[in-house]
Amino acid sequence: MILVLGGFGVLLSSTRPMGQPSPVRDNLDVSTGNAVRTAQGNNRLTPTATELVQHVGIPPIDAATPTKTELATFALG
Amino acid sequence: MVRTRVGYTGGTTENPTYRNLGDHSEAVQIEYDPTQISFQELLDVFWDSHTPTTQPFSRQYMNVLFYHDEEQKRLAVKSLEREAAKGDDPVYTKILPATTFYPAEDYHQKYWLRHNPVFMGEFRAIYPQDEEIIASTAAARVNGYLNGYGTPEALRAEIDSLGLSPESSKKLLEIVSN
Repeated sequence: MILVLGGFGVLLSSTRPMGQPSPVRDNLDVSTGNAVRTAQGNNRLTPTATELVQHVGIPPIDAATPTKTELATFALG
Repeated sequence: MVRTRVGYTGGTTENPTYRNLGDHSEAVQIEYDPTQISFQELLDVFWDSHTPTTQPFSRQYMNVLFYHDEEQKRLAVKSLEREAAKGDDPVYTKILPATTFYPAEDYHQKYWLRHNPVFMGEFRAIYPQDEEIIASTAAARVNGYLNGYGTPEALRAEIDSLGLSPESSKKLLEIVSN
């Protein structure tokens, strides 16, 4: 048995989140192109979402992750 | 839809695993943008995704709606009452307060994406860590498309936002169109 819960897959195509850049993405190391979190004091400004898309290839939909979200939890036997 | 993850919840066993689930149920947790989709719309999908009059095989495979606040509880109870009014058969679907949600093992997350080496390889190149893939909206959406959900029109409208290579974008469109 696998945890697929496929019925909710349909929801994944119903909306397109909009909003602010994700704080997680802002910590990626653009200078190296690696998905490595940078320290605060690394002598460079935190990259913008646009920079990340160009240099690291973060999917634009992820770079536009909204900051205000809510949770819903379901079990489907 | 911002993020999805599967896991275990509703029970008392601490740190459950797939092999040691205890009294938890398998569940999906959805992080959504309320300005894009409402909880009521999620409820509608929930009720359409199972047969509430089927007696659960076990606690592991129960149908449960876990509410996170009083408003969700109110809407959930109301929706259950609507379902119950549709016929004479008992409704076995439960409405319970949300408790600790334990994410399932990584190999359960984004199952359909994970089992497609081409698409998974592209996401791995962007997100080396499992936790990053689990948190990715793009990964969640591609996973849904690979599982047969979504329309070609919807995919075309957002294909450029998913971070796939041109080759994989074309392949995904072919999969969804077929």
